[in-house]
Amino acid sequence: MSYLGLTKKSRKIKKKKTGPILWVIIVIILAVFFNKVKIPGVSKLVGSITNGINNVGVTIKGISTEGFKYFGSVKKLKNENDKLEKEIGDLKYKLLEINTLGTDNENLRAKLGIKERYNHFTLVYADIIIRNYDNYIDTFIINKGTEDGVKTKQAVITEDGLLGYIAETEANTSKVVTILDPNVSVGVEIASVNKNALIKGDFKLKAEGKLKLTYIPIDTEVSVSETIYTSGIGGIYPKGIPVGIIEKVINKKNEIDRYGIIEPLVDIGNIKSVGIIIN
Amino acid sequence: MKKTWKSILMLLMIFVAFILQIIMSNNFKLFGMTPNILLVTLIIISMWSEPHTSFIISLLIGVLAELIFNYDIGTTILSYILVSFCISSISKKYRRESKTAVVYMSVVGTSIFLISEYVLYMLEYKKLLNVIVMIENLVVQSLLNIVISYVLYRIFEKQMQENEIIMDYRK
Repeated sequence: MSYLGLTKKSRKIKKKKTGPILWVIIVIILAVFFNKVKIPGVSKLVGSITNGINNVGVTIKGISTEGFKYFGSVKKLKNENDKLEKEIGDLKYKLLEINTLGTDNENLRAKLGIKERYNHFTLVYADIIIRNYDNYIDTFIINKGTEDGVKTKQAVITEDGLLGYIAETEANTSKVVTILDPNVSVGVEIASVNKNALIKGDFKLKAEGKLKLTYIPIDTEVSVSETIYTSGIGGIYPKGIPVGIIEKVINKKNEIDRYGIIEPLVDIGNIKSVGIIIN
Repeated sequence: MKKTWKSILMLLMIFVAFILQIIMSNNFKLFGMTPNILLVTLIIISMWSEPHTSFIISLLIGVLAELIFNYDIGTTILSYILVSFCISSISKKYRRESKTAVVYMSVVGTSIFLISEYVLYMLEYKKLLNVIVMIENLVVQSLLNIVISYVLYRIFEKQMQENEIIMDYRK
């Protein structure tokens, strides 16, 4: 049997579905009505309920608004923080850049000094990358090699004077043996008397950063504080490169055994860039 | 697992030692001498390890040191191998945790290294070197190495003990 086109079952479902909705509508209408008519008690109760609902709503809205505001401000702070961190990072980078430029400037000045002083030589400029820690030899590695025209047995100098020679080469690096190495000998000229002698690296003097002046010609007056230069004898070191200053002369029974202590002009322990005489 | 961790720690130690050695060599000298971090590292590793392990480590350190600092394979490797062999053999008689053992091993290791280098240098260059200077070098270098090895040992001993490696390793 159908009633208004609906079966008994569908009517039941309809009733079940519409029931609560109907009750809600009735409550709302009554609430509105009693709130206007102002029946004591009932209106108060309804007012309390609506007010409560309203308060809950307000509270929820407040929380959500504040929450959004809070999260908004956190986001804002985070953005500001990110921005500040970026600025700090930029400043640190700039500082590092300035420091690097300072060091570069120092190195370039040193190289310019070498260039100005030894403008009659063809030079390749290099930086020291690794120093040896050995007790018996004194060497270091530079960042220029055969690809830059560096060959073995080429003299290595700094702005102040002679440093050593190229012992070994690779494509992009080379090994320099300094004049402090006990195996190194350099032919020098005592300019004031126009006589030749030999400077040698000494195992004992190496730790003090000094050299030994040997084969001082007999009957030659050697004055302390005199600067000595390379003589050009030997083929590795060109003539006229300053090597060091005579610090003292040790006299022996036999004049032939006397020797001098030389203070190198180059501060070998603290140099960073060098020049290699390639021609 | 512990052995793997130990190997990793050793390789890490060697890597750090090389970095420190390069920095030290370029910037630091005391009485005209640079502290030998690589030697100290080798002494500490040899104290922990069996002779064959320390031999491999000494070979690795020696070859790398020669290639990085000297360009070619030379006599330094032999000195490193000798040190590692002696230390790993001697250290069995001592408690590795003992502070005195660390000091003693540093002195012994440094002495063996410097004497060996001294002899090898004279053989290589056929040149006599002043023995007194060598002894002076030995004293200074030993003092430097004692300080460094003590500091390094304390750091790595803690690490090893925290990971329960040092106690179990020789079992």
